[in-house]
Amino acid sequence: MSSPDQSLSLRLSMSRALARIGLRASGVIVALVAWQVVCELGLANLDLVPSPIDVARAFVDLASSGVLFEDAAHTVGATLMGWGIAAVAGVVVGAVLGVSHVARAYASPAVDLFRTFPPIAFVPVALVAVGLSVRLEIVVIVAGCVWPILIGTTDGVRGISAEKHDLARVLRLGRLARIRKIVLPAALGGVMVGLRVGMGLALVLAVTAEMIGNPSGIGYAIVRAGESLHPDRLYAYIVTVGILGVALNVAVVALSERLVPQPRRRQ
Amino acid sequence: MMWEHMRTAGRQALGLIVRLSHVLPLVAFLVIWELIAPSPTSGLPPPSTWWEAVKAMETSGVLGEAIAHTAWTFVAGLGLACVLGLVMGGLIALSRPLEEATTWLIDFGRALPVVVVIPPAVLVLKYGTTLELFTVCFGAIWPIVLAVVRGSRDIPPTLFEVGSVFRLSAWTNFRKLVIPALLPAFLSGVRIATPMALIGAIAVELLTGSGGIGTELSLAAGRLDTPAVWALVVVAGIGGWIVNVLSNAAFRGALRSRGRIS
Repeated sequence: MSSPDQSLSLRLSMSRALARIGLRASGVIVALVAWQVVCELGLANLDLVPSPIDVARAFVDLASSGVLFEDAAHTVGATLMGWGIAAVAGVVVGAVLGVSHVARAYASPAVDLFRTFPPIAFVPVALVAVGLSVRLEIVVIVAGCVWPILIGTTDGVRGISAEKHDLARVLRLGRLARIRKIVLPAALGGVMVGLRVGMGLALVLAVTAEMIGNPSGIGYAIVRAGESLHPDRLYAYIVTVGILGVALNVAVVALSERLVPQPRRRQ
Repeated sequence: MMWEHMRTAGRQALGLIVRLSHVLPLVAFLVIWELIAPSPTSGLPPPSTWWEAVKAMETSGVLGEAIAHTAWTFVAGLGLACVLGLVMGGLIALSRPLEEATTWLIDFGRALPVVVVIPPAVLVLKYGTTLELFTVCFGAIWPIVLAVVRGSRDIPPTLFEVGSVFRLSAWTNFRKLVIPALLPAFLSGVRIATPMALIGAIAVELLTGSGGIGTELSLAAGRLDTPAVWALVVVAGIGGWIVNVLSNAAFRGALRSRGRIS
């Protein structure tokens, strides 16, 4: 159905997108090759800095022996658990604060104090409060990532237009029905922003808690590899953290695209 | 007239009281904690013991030293991130292909949690001030780089035409046109970077025992001195809050003095 003019512009924009991806990938490739060359020329101490090929080899070794998946599964499990608890708590409390300005006024000093809190400092507290277990990780994650979710939800609820509230009044919806049918769907955008920020933070906090607190998962594997002077494994685990971060982010974005009605593109 | 004054004064006083009363839930929370807390040696010691711990650390001089160390690491590392971020962002903004080519590299650096960078950095830099500054800088530099790149893109080309019409030298051009045009974007990047720099400072202190609040925290946790742990966490929290308030005020102040926002 498209006119030749349209298909041409489509092809043009596609080739432009391809060129962009090519440029971005070439930047990464150039950086990796330069790093490899530095290592080959003996400019770096290979006991302390591995070459990219060493890292790739260590990654494959760790993955094929299954160790990598065990560690990653532990970290991802703790991340999702903590994020899930923070999501429920943050959305519920955030919705209440969004609806009631009295509740918001009385909660704001506490929220302002805790949202600026450096969450990493909470690891030693969780250490003495719950001891060395996966519970430590979950406590730290919840304490850190509940705030963006709560604030996103509150902002989402407050941003609902007056017309929608009028509509609820005209339809004589009860308090519960109003929250379920009007408030939550309209606030979903803000909630999703909070959930996405919270997910990134949750992974960071899980790894942090494993590095200084509970000795397990990817975080502890990083500490272990560093202390046993295995830089190739160390970097392979760090790359794994990067991959997990990207994967979890993609998952949350996919979730939000399914839940939030996307504005239709104009043709 | 007099009556009017008293009425407004009364209304203001009432407003202040209402505003102060908003802290009550926080206070009530601490009071209840104090009353039902199990014992000072448990994981959740009563808040009064935190205060005792603060006073003990204050008299022994540990607290002041730790705050000074963390504050110095934070400020020096953030300053370094500002300078390097400005230079990196400026260089990347010079060419569009370069901006595309560095996109994924910067995304990767930005996605890495700052704690994860510390073990490989220890191998190369060993323990010490360089390691601390590197960590804080790595944690904070990315938003500044991105903001500078974006800000340079948004400079209208006509601005440089003005420069050439007035035959400004390269230096004057840079000083009088580029810097003022970049300032808002740069400052918004710094504002995002500020809490990240504080997290980086506490992270490197926690992991490497280099001194400061982070190190005191890990020492207190190690000897199971729970009131001291809670006291130090409160100090860190207040520090985070002050840094946030200051950076917001500085951001607004700098922009207002340039007439950007009123």
